[in-house]
Amino acid sequence: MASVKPYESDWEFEARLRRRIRHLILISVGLLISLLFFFPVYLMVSSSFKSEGEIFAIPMHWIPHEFQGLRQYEFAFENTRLERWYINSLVIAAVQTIATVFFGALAGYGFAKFRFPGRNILFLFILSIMTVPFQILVIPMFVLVHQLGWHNSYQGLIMPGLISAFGVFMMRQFAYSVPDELLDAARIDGASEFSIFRRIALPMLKPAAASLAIITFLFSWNSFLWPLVIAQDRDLVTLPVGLTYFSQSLDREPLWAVAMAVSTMATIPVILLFVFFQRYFIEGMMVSGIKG
Amino acid sequence: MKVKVLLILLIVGLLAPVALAQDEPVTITYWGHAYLPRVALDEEMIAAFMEANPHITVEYETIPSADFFATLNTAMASGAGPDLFNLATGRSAEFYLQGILAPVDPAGWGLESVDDIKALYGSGDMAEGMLAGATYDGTLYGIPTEMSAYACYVNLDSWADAGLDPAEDFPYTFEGMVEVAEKLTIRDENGVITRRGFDFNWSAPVYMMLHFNPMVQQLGGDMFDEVNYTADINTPEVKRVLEYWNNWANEWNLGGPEYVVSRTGFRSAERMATECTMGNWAVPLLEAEDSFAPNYGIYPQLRWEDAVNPNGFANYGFNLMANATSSEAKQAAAWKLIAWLTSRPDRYLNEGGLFQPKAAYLETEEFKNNEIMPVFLDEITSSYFHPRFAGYNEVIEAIMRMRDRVVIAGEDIDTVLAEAEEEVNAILQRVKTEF
Amino acid sequence: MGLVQKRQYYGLLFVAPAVIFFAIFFLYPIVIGFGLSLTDFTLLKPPVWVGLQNYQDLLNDRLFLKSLNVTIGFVLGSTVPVWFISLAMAVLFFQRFPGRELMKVLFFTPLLPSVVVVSVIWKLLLHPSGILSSVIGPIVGQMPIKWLFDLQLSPIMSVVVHDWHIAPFYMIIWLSGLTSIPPELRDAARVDGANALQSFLRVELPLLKPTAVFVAAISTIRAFQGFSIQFVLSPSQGGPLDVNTTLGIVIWKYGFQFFRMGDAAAISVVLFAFILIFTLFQLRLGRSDDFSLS
Repeated sequence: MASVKPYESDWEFEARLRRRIRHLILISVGLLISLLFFFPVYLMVSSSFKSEGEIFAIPMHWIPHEFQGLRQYEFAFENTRLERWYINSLVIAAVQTIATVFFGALAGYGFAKFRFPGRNILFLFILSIMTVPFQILVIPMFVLVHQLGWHNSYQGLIMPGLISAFGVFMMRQFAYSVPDELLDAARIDGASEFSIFRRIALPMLKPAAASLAIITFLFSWNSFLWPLVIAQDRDLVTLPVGLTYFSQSLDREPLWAVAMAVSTMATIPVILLFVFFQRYFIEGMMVSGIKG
Repeated sequence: MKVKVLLILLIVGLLAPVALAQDEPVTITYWGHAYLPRVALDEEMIAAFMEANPHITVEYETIPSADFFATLNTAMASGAGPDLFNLATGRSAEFYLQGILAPVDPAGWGLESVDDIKALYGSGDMAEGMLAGATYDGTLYGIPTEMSAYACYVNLDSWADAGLDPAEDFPYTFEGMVEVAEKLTIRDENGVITRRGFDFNWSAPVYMMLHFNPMVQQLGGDMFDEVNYTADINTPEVKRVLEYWNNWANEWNLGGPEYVVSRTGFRSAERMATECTMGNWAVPLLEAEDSFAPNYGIYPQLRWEDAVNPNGFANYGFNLMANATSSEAKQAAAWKLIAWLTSRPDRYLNEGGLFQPKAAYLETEEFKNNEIMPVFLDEITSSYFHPRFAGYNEVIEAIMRMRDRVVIAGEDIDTVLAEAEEEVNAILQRVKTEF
Repeated sequence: MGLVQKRQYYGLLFVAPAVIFFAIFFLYPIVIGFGLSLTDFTLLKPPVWVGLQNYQDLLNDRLFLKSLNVTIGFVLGSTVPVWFISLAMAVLFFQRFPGRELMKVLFFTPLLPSVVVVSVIWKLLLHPSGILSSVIGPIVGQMPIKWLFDLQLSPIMSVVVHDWHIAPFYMIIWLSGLTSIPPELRDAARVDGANALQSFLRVELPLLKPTAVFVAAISTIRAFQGFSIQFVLSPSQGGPLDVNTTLGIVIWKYGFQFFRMGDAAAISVVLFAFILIFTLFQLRLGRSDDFSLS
């Protein structure tokens, strides 16, 4: 035991040993489980660089032997309308995010800072929306959008998710923390109610807005059922729906490597958000649990 | 001389307004499913069509096969449907019942009557058979862009390394196929099949219509009556076919629903030695540059030894149809385009791998000398069109459920057949009143 | 009316856009949905009034009844395990040890891809000639493992994929619950001579009750909505033999495959009733929670 310092007491030594064993156990359990959880994601990325034939190699190739470079990605771009899907997903997510944050802040501020008649009942209404899953609404929403003549249009894709009840709820919780004194001071200065909202409340809601923006973006980016049923026009297909063209084809095996390339492409924006805005990302996820 | 000039002027003067009216610019949309070899040719043909008819603009969209019907139906419902579409024969009954299909308009061909169009597809029984998929109640609603029946593709190398020569050993019967498939099947040390000798196409419900029911028909039964909307499933013939499928997967262990789709197995690497659910359209796919396709030969469809009917698997196809809710000008332009797109059966066969059954083309030396088409033409002329009815999606799912209850869940076959008959009859009764 | 009171009416202006939006895109569809459920509607023809016939038919509708079973199975199967897995991981990551942050990020990755992507990845993993089959097959002596084609295994796989995807999310929630427990309480228990497990059971677990109610509620509501995983992962959208046909799948199938809009709307109403009952139940259970109107 050369590393043990001569003046270390038995007690100290034992404590250190116990801590080491504890760490060892924690590290091995943690590593085992987290690698288990990480593995499928790793597989997605690594398979996107393999050839179709190598996908099912047994034993599995951890690193592609026949490294394909970006060939599968190029294939996806050349043979499908991947860039169109990508743009559609981005446009829809962007519009819904901006609208959800803005109208959420507007309504949240209204609910938090004004006592108008019907406030409680209206807020209860908003709350009740949060508990209703979209599956229940998909049939009548589809009929409604058709009535409005918005089928096969961006309006049809975007409108039902333009404002989220959760966004209103979340912004209301945060709007409470805006001090009334500041608002009153501005009122005394003669500022209009809207400019008070814009100049004082909105800046203070920025961190909450950032979290809301991220989860709204994710929610929109990942949404599947609505784009699946509403977009008949090939120009309106979004990424998740486009991806199923690879996995659901009737008469042939999916092109797995290409499917993995598209999957990776679809995940990159989320990874970027996670890397650059980790704090808001996690906070947003946590509060969004309410959304169900 | 002067009279002649005057007469010409008069005729021109009379016709000019008509000609002007006809040249009113019109834009039509055309939806086809994404069978790639056809799409390229379609695009070329459409470009030429627009050049020849400058007042018509065609917007061509391709949609993945799996989504085609649902997409078309929802689009039709909202009035955003295309003016013409290439529809699988199984899916037109709903549209027919709801009055969305326009009867074929001979003016698109510059012909007088529909009979003139039928004559393009042969005489009597021949034309009737070829156009059966587009005919309802005696009226013709579409023109075939693809007429298909399945035959058997064999992987010559796989057969050779099993010591078999298809020219001698091809079984021709389901009874004989059991033994041959066993010889062709390779299993690893764990007993896992690495190559199947032959297997059914278990992948999607539609194949129950395309090769399960025809096996019943070979024995003299028929699961569906498309005129009266009734089903006859709890019969000895259905039972015999289902038992054969069940034995195939569970008793003889030669394949089953969990394996790679049979067509893919055949096309990629060496996982299937014989595949019998591909039409002549598979040839361009097999010969594409990036294909792993094997050396193959084509043999007739399998039949029961004691078959009482001559059919192989089902005839099916795709028809170009026009939307009856589109404006008259659009419908006229649509039929013109349909006539155009079905005017080059040679190119569609050679470049697109699709058989447009035009009588004149069948008589050409080129067709007669085609290496594979005689096999397929024999299958088509001896087989029956699959039944067509509203509620198709629901019924084929019910039939697949019947199969899986026996093959996957191991339930008692008699109970399952009785319940399936009841279920399918209930569906057919309901859709008959709903549509 | 005083100036202050008049000012309060501005609140109405602020909430108006959202409230009007939800009246059009929530309330109105709900009304349409109820109406549709009383009709036969194929999309191509105008709806035909049938009264309560659709609901009556549901009582004998095999696919619908099956989907009720499947959904309840999926809810029970997917929620309970994920509570324990995510709690265990939260407790693990609450400890200090080298490499913790890296592992946390690795553990977190399943949450990043969308549900559809997740399902496609797992479809490859669970392929009969795929990796899991080749690794686990020889161990259990069965090859290939019919992960997605076996009537028992297939719904379990939907649960596995769901839990794999969502466990990191609940882990974070548990972790924030754990972090909010004052360390003094834990230390006090330790001084009393409790070991780690005892202190966890006696001190931390009771304090985690609000978090537990929260996790239980949202995981249940989420599981009720099972759709995308079953749609993408299982053979022929909900198979084999409908063992993965959730209520969501049935609604989609009836509505957009069979074009039985009336029946699909009736099922939606039934699902709505379930969610309503569950929500009321949950509000009673977690009365002191976030849902107060303060």
